[in-house]
Amino acid sequence: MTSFEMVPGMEKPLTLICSQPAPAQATYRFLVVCRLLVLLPALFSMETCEGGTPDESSSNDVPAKKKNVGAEKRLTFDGHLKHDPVFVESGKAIVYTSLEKFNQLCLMKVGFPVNGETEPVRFHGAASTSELMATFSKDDRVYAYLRNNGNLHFEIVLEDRGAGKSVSYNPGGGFAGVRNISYAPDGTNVIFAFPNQNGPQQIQSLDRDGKTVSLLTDSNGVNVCPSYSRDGNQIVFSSSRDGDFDIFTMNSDGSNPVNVTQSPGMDTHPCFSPDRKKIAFTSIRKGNYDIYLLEIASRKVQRLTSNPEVDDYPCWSPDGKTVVWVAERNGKRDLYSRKIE
Amino acid sequence: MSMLKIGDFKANSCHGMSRRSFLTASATAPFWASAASASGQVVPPRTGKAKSVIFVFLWGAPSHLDTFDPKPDAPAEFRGPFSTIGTRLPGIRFSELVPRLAARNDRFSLVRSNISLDGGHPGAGTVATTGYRENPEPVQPSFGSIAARHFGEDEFPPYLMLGKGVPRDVVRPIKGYGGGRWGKAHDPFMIDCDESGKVNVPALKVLKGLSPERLQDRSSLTRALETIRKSVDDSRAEYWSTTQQKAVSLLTSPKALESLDLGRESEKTRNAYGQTSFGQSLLLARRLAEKEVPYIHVNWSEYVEALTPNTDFGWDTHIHNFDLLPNRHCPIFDRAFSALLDDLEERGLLDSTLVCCMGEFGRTPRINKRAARDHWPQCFFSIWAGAGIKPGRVVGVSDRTASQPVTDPVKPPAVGATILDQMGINSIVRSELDVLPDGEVIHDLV
Repeated sequence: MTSFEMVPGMEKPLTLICSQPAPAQATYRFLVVCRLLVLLPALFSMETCEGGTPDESSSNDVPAKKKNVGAEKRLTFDGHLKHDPVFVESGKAIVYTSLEKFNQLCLMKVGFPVNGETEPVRFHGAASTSELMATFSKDDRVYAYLRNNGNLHFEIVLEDRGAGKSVSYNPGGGFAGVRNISYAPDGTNVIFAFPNQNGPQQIQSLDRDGKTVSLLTDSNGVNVCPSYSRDGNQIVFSSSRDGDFDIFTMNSDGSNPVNVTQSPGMDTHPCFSPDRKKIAFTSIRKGNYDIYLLEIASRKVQRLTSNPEVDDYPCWSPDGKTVVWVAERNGKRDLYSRKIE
Repeated sequence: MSMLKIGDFKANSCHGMSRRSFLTASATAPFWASAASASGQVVPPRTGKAKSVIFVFLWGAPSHLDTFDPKPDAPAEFRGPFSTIGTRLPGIRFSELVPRLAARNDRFSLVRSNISLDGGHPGAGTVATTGYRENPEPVQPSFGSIAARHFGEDEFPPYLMLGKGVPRDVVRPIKGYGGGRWGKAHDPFMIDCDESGKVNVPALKVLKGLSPERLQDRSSLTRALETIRKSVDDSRAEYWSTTQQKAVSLLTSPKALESLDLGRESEKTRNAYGQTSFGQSLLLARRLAEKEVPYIHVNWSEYVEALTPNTDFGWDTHIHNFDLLPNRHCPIFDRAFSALLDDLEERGLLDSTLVCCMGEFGRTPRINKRAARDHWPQCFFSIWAGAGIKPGRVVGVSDRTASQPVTDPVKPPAVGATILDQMGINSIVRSELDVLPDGEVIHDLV
């Protein structure tokens, strides 16, 4: 587990904050004031950059070009809690999870790009329990989602639209929750996160028949949020095996895990760009949930959002030109997009 | 935009005939306007520092290790995957999941050594709200009911509970939410507030067909109420009568209606709390504190269950603890509760409003076989701010795995005694009321 010094709302870590005895408080306060004065312009900049261009990441990262992204564009307008958007229909629509009733999560679908006429609609109109985290094969022929089918219990539902078949995978009795599913682009299997018997949570693979499960990770800690690359050869995921959540990649058979971020603070919800050269992910390394882009070859990190509210759940359009994510603006959670050059 | 839903009709918040009718109705309905004056009860003076209490109940029980009592040096099977961050207080660290509150902890105090007497939700819920176990019966009156009984009825019911319903799990509600051995007449009055800030008064649903215009006609109203009263089972008659009286009192009070109308808040203020039921409920609580409603209990959810069909996402994270906390619960809580503290302070209400926030227990320090955390009544946290509370303190130290308090264990009756003491319901009054006999004030907080 890593720890970092951050007075939230400030862009730079505060050092000398921890374990000060009481007599040192005056010195501490003096240092805080000095640091605040130094950072005031940066703070002001952060507060005024809503909807503007992103800035570069921490001083350890190479600054990114400031004009390689467009302004953020709002795609939905109801403000409901949302998560896990994914592109479908070759980029012409987005399916996401939304809190449509106070006690029910629903899969929703909205056209893309938004043309003023497309209203989000229920993806499964008749759903009577929470459904979430839809994931699709590249051709949309098969898809899967999680269904809350009991007390603290989630199953995977695998739908084959071509064959008109639906099968489910029940992870076991009692409290059992499958989490974070991603369909292989070729539709052969779905990967997900689930705890093994002794505590750590692993990435596992389930064949499309819903019967055969195999383990892809075998590490300490919590492995979450696996996501396939568009060619199906790689998986990106988040893991706390080394302490806090960082981003890892591995081959689709689970071999060759590589840690690609080592930042203090949680890095999570990663997804590959379609060309597999970049990873979009969420990080709270600077004290707030923001979207970052990692260039895999150089390890350069670019901060895509710098809003004092929550930015989370990034996903790429199939052409790699747009990132869509869930942004909290004025206390409301909606889908937003931004062009990436 | 209509924000206030009462029974079967809605009142426009800022303009329109509905609201005008409402106010007219209330002006011509003095019969219902004040239950206190109607009953002749003398309302005792507010001698305490806390004119209002906002009790924020994190129902389902949040993990203390993953929020306000992290243990970064504990073995991996205890500490969890989250980093820690510095706070405004030297040497005090929180989880990275509550950054806004970390930036404000010089404005509130934190107890890291609460203990409960029960490891199950309904039982522990009763312990948290009354200070005592459900069994042996009778169930003791809740802190809110004690305050309500002492201060009596005014323009508002003195004990309001904001949420979908009485806290419960899928099996049953808690027993200690209300009057307990004093009877249902001392139960809280329920008000629901949804994510968009629409307020609903469930008790008025039985007044089907009553329009504001009809409320002006006292005889019509009396007949309608009598008809309903006759249809109510005898065992519920006392509760119905009291609740209905409170409901109609609210309905006919301009002051009350105004306070229940979040449409009167600026967009900026409403946004600050976040578009969630919990956030808007906290905003409603602040509006009620402005009117000095004695005890306002805000529920995070009705159900403890975090992920169960037809339940509303409580903190009971036997599974997905390390998913739900960062992805949903903590961002919602961190934002809304910070907004409440800011709002109370900016309006000068923090000196007269005591805020206490806690769950019914903590969660297992050792990570379970489902990569999550189970129930842990031996050690958990509570947050205190406002009237009578010294800010910027951390009371109690837990051991290296946050399993047990090492210092200053805070027993459940102490929570009630501390709250009530700040309201002016001191040990003498409590003795007269025959409540909390062993409740000791948490002196390090006040």
